Amino acid sequence: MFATVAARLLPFAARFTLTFLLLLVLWPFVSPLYARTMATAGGKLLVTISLLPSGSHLEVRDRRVWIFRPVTKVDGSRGLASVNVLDDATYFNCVLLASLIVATPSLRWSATAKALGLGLALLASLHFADLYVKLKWTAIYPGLRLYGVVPEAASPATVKLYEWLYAFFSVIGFGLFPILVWIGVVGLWWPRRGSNAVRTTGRRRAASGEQPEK
Amino acid sequence: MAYKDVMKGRQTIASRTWPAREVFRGWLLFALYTLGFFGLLYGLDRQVVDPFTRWIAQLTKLVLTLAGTQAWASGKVVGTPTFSVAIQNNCNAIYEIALFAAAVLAYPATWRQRAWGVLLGFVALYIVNLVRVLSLIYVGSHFRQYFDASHIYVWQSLFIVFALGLWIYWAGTLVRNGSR
Repeated sequence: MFATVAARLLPFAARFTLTFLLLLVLWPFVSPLYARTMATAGGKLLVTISLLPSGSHLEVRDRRVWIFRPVTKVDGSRGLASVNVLDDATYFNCVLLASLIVATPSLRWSATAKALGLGLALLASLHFADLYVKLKWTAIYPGLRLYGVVPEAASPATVKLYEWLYAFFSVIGFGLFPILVWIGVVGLWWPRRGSNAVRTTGRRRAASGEQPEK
Repeated sequence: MAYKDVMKGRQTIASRTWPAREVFRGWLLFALYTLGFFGLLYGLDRQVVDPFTRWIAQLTKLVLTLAGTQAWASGKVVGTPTFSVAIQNNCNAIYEIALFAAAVLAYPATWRQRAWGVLLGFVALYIVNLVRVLSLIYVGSHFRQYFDASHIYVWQSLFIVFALGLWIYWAGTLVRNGSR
């Protein structure tokens, strides 16, 4: 029985490994595009919802998204600071999600494609949330004074909230988000066992020329 | 009974057999347990997570020494004469163990089965994490240029997938046993 469960996991593991390795090879080409898209689309979205600090802009350097923003130094002078708000180690989990979805057995190709589309879109929105949390936390972080920068004014509750959000996204987000999204999207398109049985029965009947029950 | 009625009845049964509600319930419970465990661990960082991480560093040093390598450990840092690593929160497995425990607790099973599941996950993930740290020290010592790729891309993903596979194995065994 243990062997049976393991045997059923093996095809999944094999497909996962193949897809993962393939995407790992493609990653150096895909990640700069992803970072650029996040910086462009994310920047526009932040401007639209008025969450990008004035005088700031997002930029991509070495597969990472950076924010360049004006800061006030402890001596009262003004300056420009650059902070990394999204790096490829964070958004590499889209490879993990894509491999999980492709390796999922029992899904038709159309369902796999739909699950991939929706899954990656959901994960991208979580990356955007991650970017925003880092952007905010690195602006209000009380320890900034140690680096000669005055943190933006924020209530203690806001500081605590963003500290926890930052830790949550940094520590647990990489693994948690793809799994949550994977379960969600696969659950949406998982074949309905009962309705397949009905279809099969119907097809069998049609093939054998049997009439439906009356 | 008309054919249409029979089919309608079967469709009703079919929609009942699709466990959308159970999946959603499990998904929600998993998310809630994860949040709870994260809150607990993050809140008890100094009391629980730090000693746990230091212990991994000491254990890694012990294994390296037993294997005949000159090794040292200081706090969360462990190393050899040529390479050293600082074990951070992403590499101590404690949050991944918490994720696994959240998934086990969210699954409909008896508390005894859940307790076995959590214990299995803890032991297996702890051992795999030790292998991860040891292998990363080896890669860092001998193939420095591949360290980042192994650390950030390969091991992080593989570790999560191992935890997921372990959970599927545990849940699949329960389902096949029919012992829910």
